[in-house]
Amino acid sequence: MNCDVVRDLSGAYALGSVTPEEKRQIEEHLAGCDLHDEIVGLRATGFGLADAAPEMVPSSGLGDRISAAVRAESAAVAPSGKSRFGVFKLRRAASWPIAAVLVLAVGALVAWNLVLQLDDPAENLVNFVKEPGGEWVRVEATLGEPGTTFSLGGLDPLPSGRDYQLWAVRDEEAHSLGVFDTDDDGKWSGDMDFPLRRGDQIAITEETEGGASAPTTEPLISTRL
Amino acid sequence: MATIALPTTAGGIATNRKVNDSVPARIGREEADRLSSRLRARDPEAVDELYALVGRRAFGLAYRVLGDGSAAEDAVQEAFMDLWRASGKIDSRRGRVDSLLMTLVHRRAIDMLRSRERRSAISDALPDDIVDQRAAELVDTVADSLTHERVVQCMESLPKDQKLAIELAYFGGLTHMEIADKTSSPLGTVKSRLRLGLLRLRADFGISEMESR
Repeated sequence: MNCDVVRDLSGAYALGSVTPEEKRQIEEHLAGCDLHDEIVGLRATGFGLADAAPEMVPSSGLGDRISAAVRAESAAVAPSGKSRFGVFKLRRAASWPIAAVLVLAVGALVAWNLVLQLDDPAENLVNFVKEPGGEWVRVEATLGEPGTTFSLGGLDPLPSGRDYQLWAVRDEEAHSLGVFDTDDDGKWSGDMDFPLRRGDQIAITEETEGGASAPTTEPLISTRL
Repeated sequence: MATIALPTTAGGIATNRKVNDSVPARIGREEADRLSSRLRARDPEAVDELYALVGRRAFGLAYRVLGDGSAAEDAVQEAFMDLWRASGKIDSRRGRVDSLLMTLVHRRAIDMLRSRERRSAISDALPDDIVDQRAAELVDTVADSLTHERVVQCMESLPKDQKLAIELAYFGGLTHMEIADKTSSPLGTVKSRLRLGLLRLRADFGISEMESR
């Protein structure tokens, strides 16, 4: 490709309107010829065309999806073990207004859930859950017999007289897994004597100390394993 | 000449996706540099902040290319992930991070458009050649003045044939040969329209003046 051809194609090249082969040949020519300074300016002009499009409002969930995807990728490339907790900031999920007695329904909540299938024979599942307007909560569950090992992060310690309660929802029925409270860093880990399966829905509610026989508040988070 | 339709407005999209006709908010140089530093340090909250600042611009661009809200959101998400994966290489001296993101959104959207229309991909994943780096530095010198209104005004001042050729290339993702075919114009004419139109925009954007300094 000679200088004349490169010059003729400079506008098309600047707009990405050339074939990959033309692009390769143009760049090969530019690497050995300094007579095409205008191409940089044309390319810069092409970049400026981005603002010819008007601003528009995407759906409200797009930011959450991007945020979740970035954090999931961060977690996936982080070293295994406890350090995964340190990859991102964990805070309490926003409290939802206390409601009347609530039967948890699978899929009743709108939340962004990301599931990472880690390379772990014990079926170690990590979900990142964020309710609308809330903060990220990390739920890690190691499935198996006789029970399930949980590791949670992102929940604030509760005041005296209140407990978090874990629920499993299977066949549209809520089963209490037990109650827990977090440490000062908003983390809790422990075993629940309930063999969860992949596909089960789990939820966390805030209850009076000792827990309830059925959920009495709206879930802080709900996620399917 | 054939009639060519490009998605130019929000007509037909969901009601929650309204057009904002106001001048897009711009990120200041200092803020862009600060976000670049945090992205280099792999701070995911910097992505959240960047999205809050330029998400509407990014979505507007992707929608203009794809004409479909759902696909446009996918393009924006992929572009943010491209940025995140390349965050270790972000150098604020070689272009502002918001400009880089818009370039990535455009490339993702064009790739999706061409894939949807069963046309082969023509773009690279990341702008990493020397021309792109120098061009990014150059456009940043005028970025603060390149508002949506100004760019549209400059485009409207072009001869119709030049404007159409540039729109088909930039927003339609067509090669110069495809433009010639679509507009029933000689190939040499299309190449001239693209080059002359861009030369005029270069001057109108103030880029020529910055080049001469």
